[in-house]
Amino acid sequence: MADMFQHTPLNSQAKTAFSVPERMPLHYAYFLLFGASMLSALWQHAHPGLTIVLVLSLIPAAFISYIPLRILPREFRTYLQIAVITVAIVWAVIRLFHKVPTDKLLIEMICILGMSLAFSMRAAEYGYMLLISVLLLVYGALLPRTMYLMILLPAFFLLMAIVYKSRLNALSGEGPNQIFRSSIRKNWLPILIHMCILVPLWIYFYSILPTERKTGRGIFVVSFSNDNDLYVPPQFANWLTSEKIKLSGEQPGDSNRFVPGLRAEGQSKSGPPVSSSGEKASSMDSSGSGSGAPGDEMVFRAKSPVKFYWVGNIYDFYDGVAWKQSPSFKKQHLKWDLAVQRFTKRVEQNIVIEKWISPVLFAGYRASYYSINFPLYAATNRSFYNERLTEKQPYPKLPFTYTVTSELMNVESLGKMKKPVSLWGETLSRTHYLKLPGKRISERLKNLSKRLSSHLSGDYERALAIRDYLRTNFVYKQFSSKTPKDRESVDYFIFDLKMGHCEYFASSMCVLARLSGLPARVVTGFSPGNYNALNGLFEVHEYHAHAWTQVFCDKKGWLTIDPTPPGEIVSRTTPIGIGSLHDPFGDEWKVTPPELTESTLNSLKSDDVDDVFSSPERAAVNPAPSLLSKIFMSMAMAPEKIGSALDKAREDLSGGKPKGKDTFSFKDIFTSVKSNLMLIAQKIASGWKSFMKWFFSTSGSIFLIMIMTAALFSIKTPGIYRKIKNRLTIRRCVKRLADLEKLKKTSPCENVKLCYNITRKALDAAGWPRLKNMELFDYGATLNKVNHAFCNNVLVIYYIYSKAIYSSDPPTVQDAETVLERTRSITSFILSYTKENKKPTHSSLLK
Amino acid sequence: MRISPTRRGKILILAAAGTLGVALVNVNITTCLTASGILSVLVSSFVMSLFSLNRLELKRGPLKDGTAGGKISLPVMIKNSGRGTRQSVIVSEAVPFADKKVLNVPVQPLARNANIVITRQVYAAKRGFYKLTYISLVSGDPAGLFRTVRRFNLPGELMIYPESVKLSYMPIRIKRQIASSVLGRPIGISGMGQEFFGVREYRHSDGVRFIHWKSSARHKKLMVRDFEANASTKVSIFLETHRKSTGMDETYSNLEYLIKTAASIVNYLSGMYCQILFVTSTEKDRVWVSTGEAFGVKDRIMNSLATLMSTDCRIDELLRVESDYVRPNSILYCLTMSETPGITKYFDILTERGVDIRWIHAPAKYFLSPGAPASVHEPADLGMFLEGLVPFIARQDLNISRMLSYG
Repeated sequence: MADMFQHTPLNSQAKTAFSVPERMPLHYAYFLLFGASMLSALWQHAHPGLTIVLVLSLIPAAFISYIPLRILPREFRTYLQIAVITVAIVWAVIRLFHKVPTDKLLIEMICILGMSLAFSMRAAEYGYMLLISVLLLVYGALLPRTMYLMILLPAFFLLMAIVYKSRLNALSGEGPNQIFRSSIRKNWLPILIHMCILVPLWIYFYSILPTERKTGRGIFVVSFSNDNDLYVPPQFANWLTSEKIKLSGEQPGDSNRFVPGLRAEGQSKSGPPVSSSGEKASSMDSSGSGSGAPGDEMVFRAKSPVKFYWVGNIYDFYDGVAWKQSPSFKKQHLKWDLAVQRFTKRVEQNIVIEKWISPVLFAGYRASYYSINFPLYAATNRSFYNERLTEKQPYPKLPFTYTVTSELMNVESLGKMKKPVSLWGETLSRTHYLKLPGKRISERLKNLSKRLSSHLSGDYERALAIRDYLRTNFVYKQFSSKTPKDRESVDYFIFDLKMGHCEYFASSMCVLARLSGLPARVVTGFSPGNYNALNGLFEVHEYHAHAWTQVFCDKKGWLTIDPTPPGEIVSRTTPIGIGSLHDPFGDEWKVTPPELTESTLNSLKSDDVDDVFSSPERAAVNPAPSLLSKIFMSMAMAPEKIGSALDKAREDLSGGKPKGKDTFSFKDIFTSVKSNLMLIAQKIASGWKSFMKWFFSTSGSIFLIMIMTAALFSIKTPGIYRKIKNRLTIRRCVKRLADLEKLKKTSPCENVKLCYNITRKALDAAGWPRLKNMELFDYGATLNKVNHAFCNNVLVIYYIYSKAIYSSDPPTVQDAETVLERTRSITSFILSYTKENKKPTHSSLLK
Repeated sequence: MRISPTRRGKILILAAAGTLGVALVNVNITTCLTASGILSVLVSSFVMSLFSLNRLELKRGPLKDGTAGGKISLPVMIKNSGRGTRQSVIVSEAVPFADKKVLNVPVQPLARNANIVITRQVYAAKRGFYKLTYISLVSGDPAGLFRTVRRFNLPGELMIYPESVKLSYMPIRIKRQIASSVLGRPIGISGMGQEFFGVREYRHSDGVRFIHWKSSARHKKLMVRDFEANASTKVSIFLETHRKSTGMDETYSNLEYLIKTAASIVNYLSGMYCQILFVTSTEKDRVWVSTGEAFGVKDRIMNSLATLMSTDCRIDELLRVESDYVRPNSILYCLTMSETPGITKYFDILTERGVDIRWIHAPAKYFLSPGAPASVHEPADLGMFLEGLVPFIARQDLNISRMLSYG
C-alpha cells in the first residue's frame, strides 16, 4: 500500500546532491503522446524542418528529468525554458513575415512551447503538456491524412494509460504538491470494463455521425491541401527523392532508359491498360492482362477548366481478342475544316507529372498543341491526338510540367445552327471505325446490338442505350478471368463472364456501338481523378487508370462514353467544408458524357477558354499561359504560398480586393449543422427501428436468452462456487479428524493444535470468520447466537488451545480427546447447518 | 451523491464539443473518428462513475485530542459490501486545524466484503475546539474524468490543545521571600512538595524511593517522607488577550506565542506541587480565573487556552480585578502584548507584597510572519519601561524554554 499510495510532497525534495526532479508516473508516456500529437498536427502541414527538429528532440527532452539537480540546477532549467520560449516568439515573427496562415503559426508556436515544458517538468506542467497534446490531436483531426489515422490509435492508448495512472490526482483535485500513484495492475477490472464500454460506444457514435460529403461552406479556412498522404513537401524533395527517375516496374539497370510500353510482369503496382505486360503500347488486350493491382501513387496533377478523361492511347482495330492501332490510324491526321473550327473551343490544361508511368503526355481529347520546355520539345512523337516522349531521351526530372491545348466542340452553339455541319474531321473514313472481325463476332452479339438500339433513331441515344445496358447488367470486377483462347472477348464477357474490369466494358461498348452503326474506338488513359477544391487541381493517381470508349455522334462529334458502372470510377472531392470552395463539376459527368455536361458547356462559354478564331495569331502560336496558370505552376509545390498567390492573382485579375479568406456564412454553417444533426437523428431512429425489429425476431430472442443465461450464470456462479468450495473444505476437515485419532495419544499437543486449526477452517468455511483484532474468546462468544452448545464446544477448544500455547503444562491425552470430540461435534453441526441452506453472515453475529 | 467533471473532464468535454461541432460541418473521417472517440470516453466514464461508490460504508473511529504542532490521528473504517472489488477511492475531510484545509487520503482497492481501517494522520497547526461534521468518499471512473462524491454525516469533536514546550527547568523559587505562614500541614502524597514536613506510614500508592529507611527501621514498618503543603510554590499567570495588540497571523502571532508560553508553564508546574492562579480574558468572561492545585487545574486551564481568542480586555484591567488575589511570596508571570503604562503601579504594589514578577512582553511588531528575521531590540523600545520593572521582550524566534529558564 505504501508503494501504491505514495504521498510525495513535491516541496519536500530530497536534498541530496544527486536528487533529480520529481517525475510523474509514466513520465515517458507524456512525451510519447506529445510527440504523436505534434506529428498529427504538423505532418505535411507545418514547416518540415521544424517538424523534424521537434520530433527528434523529444526523447532527449524527456531525458532531462533524469539529470541530477547538481549538474543542471533548477535555475538553469528555468533559463532553458525561457530560451525555448524566446525561440518560439522569434519563430512566430519569422513565420509572420512569410505570411504563414494564423492557424499554422499558432500550432507551431504551441508545439515549441510544449517542448519548453520538458525542461522544468513540475507536476503542474505535466498537466499542461497533456492539455497541449489533446489540443494538437483535435487540430490534427482537421487534416485528413493517413498519418493521422496511424497516430490516432497509439495516441489514444497512451492518453488512456496516462489518465488511468493519474486518476487519483485528478479525483482529489490536489495541486502539484502531492502525487497519488494508482496502480493499473490492481485496478485492472474497472479499466477493462471501461474499455469494454468505450469501444462499442466509439463504433456506435462513429456510425451515426454523417460521413457523406455534402456541399456547403466550412468554418475553417486553412491553406493546406489534403488527401495528399504521400505528398512530399518540396523542402524534403531533395532529401528524400533520389536522382533516379522512378518508373513503375522499372528494370534494374534500365533506370535512365525509357522503354515504351513494356513492363515486367508482377512489378507493376498499377494496372493501367496503357501498356500491358509483355505487350507494346500499341495494343490493348481486353481480356484483362493490363489489370494489375492499382497503386496509390499520384501520377500527375492537372489544372483544367473542364473535366476531362485523360487520353493515353486510342485503339481502332479489333481482332476479336485485342484492340490495336492500325497503321493507317497511327499515320492519320485531321482535316482542317473551317466550318468545324468555327465551333471549336480551345481549352488549356496545365499538367504536372509526378511520376513517370508512361511516355505519353496525357491530355484531354483532343490535344492540339503542347507547350513543353526545351530541351524536350524536339524529343516527342506526335500523333493526331497527343504527344509522347521518344525512346532516345531519358525521362526528364520530376516534377515535369507542360501545357497542352485541347480542342472541344461547342455543342451548344452547334445545335443552334440551322444547317447541319459535318464534324468528321479525320482523314480516315467513318466506316473505318465500324470494322469488326466478322467471323469472330457471334450472332447473338449482333442480335443484342439490334435489340438495344434499333428502336432508337439518334446516334447519341443509341450510344447511351448501349452504355446503360452495360452499366446496369454487368458488374465491375477488377481482377477478372482471362478470355479463353477459342472465345471472342466481348461475347465471352457479355454472355458468360458478366463481370469484368474496365477494358471488358470498353471493348463491349465499342463492339456493340460498331454493330449498331456508330463509329467507335477504345481509349485507354486515366479517369478525371480527384478534384482538389482547395487548389483547383485534378489529382490523378495510379488507381485512376481506366479504359473507355469514344463514340462519334452526329452534331456532337467524338463523345466519351464510359460504360463502366459509375460507382467504380474513383473520383473524390476534397471534404466539403474545408475552404470556401466546392466541387464545381459535380457528378453529372458520370451520367452525361463530359463533353456535354453543363459545367463543360458553361466553361466553353466563359472567357477562360479561347475561341480558335478569337485571335488569329494565337491560333498559330502557342498561347501564353495566364497569370493564374503561371502562379499555379510555380507554386504547385508550396501549399502555404497558394493562399497569398491566389489573393494576388485575384487582385491582378479583378482589380479589387480579393475575397477575404476568413469570410464565411453563419447561415451555411447553421444549415450544415442542422442537416447533419437531422441525419444523425435519422440514423439513430433507423438504428433503433432495426434493433427493435431484430430484438423481437427469433435471433434476437435467442440472443436475449443467451445473455440472460450468461448474466445469471455469472451472478450465481461465484456464489455456487463458493458454496461448493466451503462444503468441500468442511468435508476435508471431517476427513482429517479421522486421521487425528492416532495422534491424540502419541502427541496430544499436536493434536490440540491441529484440531484448533480444523475448527477455525470449518468456521471460516461456514461463514463465521474471525474478524481482525478480535480476541479469541470474544470471537467464540459471538457464536452463542447460533447455538449455545456449539458455542460451548468452540470455547472449550479455544481454552485448551490457549493452554497448549501459553501454559507451561502441556495438554494431556484427556485434553486431546476432549478437543477431538468437540471438534467432531462442531464439524457435524456445521455440516448439518449448512445443509439446511442457512446462510450465516458475520454481520448477524456482530449485531 | 454528487457527480461533477474534474478538470481534465472539463477539458475533454470542451474538446468533444469542439470536434463534434467541426465534424458536423467539416465532414471527414478523421474529425468523425476523433469526435466519436472523445464522446465515447466521456459517456463511458460518466456511466462508470455512477456506480463507483455503491455499497461502500464509512464509519469514523474514536477521536483523540491532540496538541498543536503534533500529529492528530483520524481513523476511519471503510467497508465494501458490494459484490466486486472497488477501485481506489479517496477519503476527504475538511480539517480546519491543519495547514491544508482538506485532508485527502487514498484507499487501496477494496475486495469484496473487505473491511479496513485507515488511520489518517494530519499535522495540527492550530489549536482550538473543532467539530467535525462529515467525511466524503471521492471516487469516479477509472480515467478520472468524473468525480463522484458521497458524504457521510459522521460528527466528531476534537480539541487541539496549544503547543507547549517541554521545559527541563524553570526557576520557581522566589527571589525575595517575606515571612511565610507558620501553619503547616502535610501534602499526603509522596514525592510532592519542597519543604520536609515529617514521616508517615507507607501507603500502597507511595513511591518506593521516598521510603525513609531510618524511620522504617525504628518503627519496624515502612515509613515515607511527607512534605509541607503550605510550603508549596504559588504561581500566578496573567495572560493578556487584547485584540488590538494581537498580530494578524493566525498561527504565528504574539498571542499564540504567549499562549504557548502559558501552556508550557502550566505543563511544567503540573508536575510540581504548585498552586496556580490563572487569569485571562475570554469571549464569555471578561475576566476568567482558574485557581487551584496545578495538576488539578491543568486540564481546565489547557481547555481555556485551547479556545482562547482575542478580546478587548487589557492587562491593566486584569490586574485591577485580580491582583489582590495574588498571594504574597508567590511568582507572577505577566504575559502582555499591549503597551499599557498603568500597569507599573500594580507591579509596585505586588512587589511590596513579595511577589516575584516575571514580565514577558510580546509586542505584535516582533511577530510579523514565519521566517521573518528577528528585529534587533532597540533601547528606544524600552522607553516606557525605563521607570520601574523592565519586561523581557519576546520575539518570534526566541526559544520559550530558554526564556523561561532564565526566570
